[in-house]
Amino acid sequence: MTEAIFKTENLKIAYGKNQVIHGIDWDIIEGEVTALIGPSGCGKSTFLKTLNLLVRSMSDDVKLSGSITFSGKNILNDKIDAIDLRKQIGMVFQQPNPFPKSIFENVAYGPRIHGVKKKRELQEIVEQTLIEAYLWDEVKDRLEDSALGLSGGQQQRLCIARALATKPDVLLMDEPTSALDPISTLGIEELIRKLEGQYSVILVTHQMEQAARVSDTTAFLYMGELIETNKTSQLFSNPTEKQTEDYITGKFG
Amino acid sequence: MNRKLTDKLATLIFTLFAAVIVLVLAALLSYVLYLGIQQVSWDFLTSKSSNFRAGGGIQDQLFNSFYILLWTMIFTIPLGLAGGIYMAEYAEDNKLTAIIRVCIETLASLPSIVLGMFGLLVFVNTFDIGYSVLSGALTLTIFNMPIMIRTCENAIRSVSPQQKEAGLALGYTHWRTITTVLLPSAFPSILTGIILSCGLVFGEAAALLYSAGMTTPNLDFGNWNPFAETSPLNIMRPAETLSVHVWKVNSEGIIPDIRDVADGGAAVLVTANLIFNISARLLGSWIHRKLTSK
Repeated sequence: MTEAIFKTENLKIAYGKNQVIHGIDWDIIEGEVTALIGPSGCGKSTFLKTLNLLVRSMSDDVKLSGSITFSGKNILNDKIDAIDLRKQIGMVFQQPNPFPKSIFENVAYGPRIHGVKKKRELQEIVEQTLIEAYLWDEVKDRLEDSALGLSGGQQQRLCIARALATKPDVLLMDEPTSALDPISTLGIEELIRKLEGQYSVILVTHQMEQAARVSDTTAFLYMGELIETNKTSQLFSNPTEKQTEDYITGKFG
Repeated sequence: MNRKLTDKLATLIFTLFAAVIVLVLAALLSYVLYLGIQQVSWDFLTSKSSNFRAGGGIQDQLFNSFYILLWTMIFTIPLGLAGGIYMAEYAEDNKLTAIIRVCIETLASLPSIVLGMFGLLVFVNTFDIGYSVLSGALTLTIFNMPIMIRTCENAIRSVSPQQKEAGLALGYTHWRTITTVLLPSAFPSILTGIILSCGLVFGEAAALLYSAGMTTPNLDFGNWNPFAETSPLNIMRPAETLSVHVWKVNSEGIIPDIRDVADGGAAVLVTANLIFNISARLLGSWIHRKLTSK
């Protein structure tokens, strides 16, 4: 049996009185691309943003219970430092959100804050990471230009590079292509496939085809419940649950 | 009436309203400038005012206006930033915050003459600072702070939450996310807000009548020792500003050229305000362009 990078037990998430996630037990396998699918509003994004405790920082009234084990520790325990945690867990969002700074600064930001001071070392990290994100060739001559001058797809790859620059173990991706055109989407999907193995990637998507194209394991989330998880090929060709089948055949959602 | 006609009528009415506003402004500006510009000369700007004789200038008053503005901004910007950051990022959505918000709004809508009286009672009398640059600047700080807090709060709130998420997700602390992500993105709007409120502060008269005073000692522009009695830099001296001067000359002046001095002073005030407003727009859009593409 392969190792689990995240292990959730009876994870419940609520905003005030509004229960969003109703107790999820799930082992997310290390080194794989895991896709989380489900209709809008089913709690996919909330679940993802709980894995790096971002929900706590962005909302005052969120309540988390149960446990999430990450590298041997329950991260819902109060003694866990969210800052250290997020160094190991990178995140990419729906809308490309580069900082209004130069391309170089965007990538250098994470390492800089985590203690890399030397200019040379930073340059090396920036180059390495941009190569890793397949953006280097397009931007190497204009690293000092504003990141906002890039196209949407380039911006999103820059955001992936920015997340990778702190050398995380996990990359969380929250519908990373929903704001992109089909060509850019293919570029991002190709990149995700290449990251597989080096990183554990957890990808939230509302496009089933995308899950089918890039992921090893797919999980179906519906109304805050984890309905089914399985190898992607299994889940799409031979779902065990009726609800999964209805969803992937387009009967609802 | 058919829908197309209604639509056209609505467009027409709103265009008319807009035209009226522009016309009123244009008429006002051109009237003030037309009357005043004939009085404004280098000599008018750089000679001292006179209490009895004709031909006085506005040199000291103009300096006082800028000097009080400078001190007001030195006090207001840190306070406004701190308040704005607190309201946008730290204040929880509860009763206390609601009370603070009501206080800020009330303060913003107080008549400035009331603030002037407050300045007289508190700074001039209780703290015994006397009619001075400092009393005036502190009074104007109270006058300007609510606007500044709101400007900063709105500027920070208008930065997209995705920027904040990006910072936090990279492992920044809340504070570092504020200083390295939110504030730089909010900077153009904050700067525009600061310059616009400079215009307001520069033109304010009522709040200064009884705080900065209606007189100026015989300033010696060769003496830059900030503790000297006649030094322009002394913040404990009374300082009549340009708008106070325009008011005073008009209401109790005994010089023969009251109209000329008042007209000239008004023209200078209006010009300064125009410069503040136009530069705020230009600078804001320039920075925006610089940040978004190159």
